[in-house]
Amino acid sequence: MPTCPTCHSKVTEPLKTWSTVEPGKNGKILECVVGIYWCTNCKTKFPYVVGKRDLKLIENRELQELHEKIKMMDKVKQELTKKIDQLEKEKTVVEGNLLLTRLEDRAENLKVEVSLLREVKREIEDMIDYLEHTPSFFKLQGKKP
Amino acid sequence: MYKPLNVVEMESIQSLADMKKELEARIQALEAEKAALLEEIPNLREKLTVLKLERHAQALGNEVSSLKAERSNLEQEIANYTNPQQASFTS
Repeated sequence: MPTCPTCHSKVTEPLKTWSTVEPGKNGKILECVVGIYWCTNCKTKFPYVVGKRDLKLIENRELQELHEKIKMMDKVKQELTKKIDQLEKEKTVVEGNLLLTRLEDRAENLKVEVSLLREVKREIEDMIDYLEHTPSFFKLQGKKP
Repeated sequence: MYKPLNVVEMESIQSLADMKKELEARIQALEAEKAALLEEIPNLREKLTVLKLERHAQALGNEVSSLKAERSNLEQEIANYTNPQQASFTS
C-alpha cells in the first residue's frame, strides 16, 4: 500500500492509474502501472508505481503454437487425471481384497488351532471320564468277599 | 480433484466392508474360544493327573493289604507247624 512521501500516512485508492511501456534488456519490454494518489491528511498528490511486469514480443505463429501446446498438455493432464483416478480406485479394491485375504488366513489358522485344542480337550475329558466311571481292578478285587 | 463414486463402486466397497466385519467377528469368536480352551486344558490335565495318582494310590493300597493278608496267613501257617497240638485244638 502506498504511503504519502510528506506525512507518511497510508493512501488506499488512487485518483488515476495508467500503464507505461519501456524497452528493457534482451528484447524484453517492461510494463509499469503507475497511479496518482492524493493524501487526505496533508493534501499532497504523489505518483506511485503499483505494479511492474516483464513482457516479451513474440510472433503470432509462435503464440499460436504455444496455445496449441497448452491445449495438448491440458488434454494429457486430463487423461492422466482420469488414469490416476482409475488407479486409485483399483488400489482401494486391491487393498481391500488383500486385507480380506489376510483376515481369511488368520481365521483359517485360528480354526485349525481351535480344532486341535478341542481334540486335546476331548481326549483329556475321555480319559478323566474313563478314570472316574470305570472301577479299578484292585478296587473290584478288594470288594470281593 | 474429488470424484464421487458410482453405485457399483459403492456397492463393491460396501460388500468388502461387510465381509471384513464378518471375518473380524469370526476371528474374535475363534480367539475367545482359543483363550477359553487354553485356560481349560491345563485344569483338565491337572485333574487327570490327580485322578491317575488317586488310582495309583488305591492300587498300591490294595496291593499292600493283600500282601498283609498273605503275610498273616503265612505266619498262621508257620505257627501251626511249629506248635501242631495247639494248632489242632484251635482249628
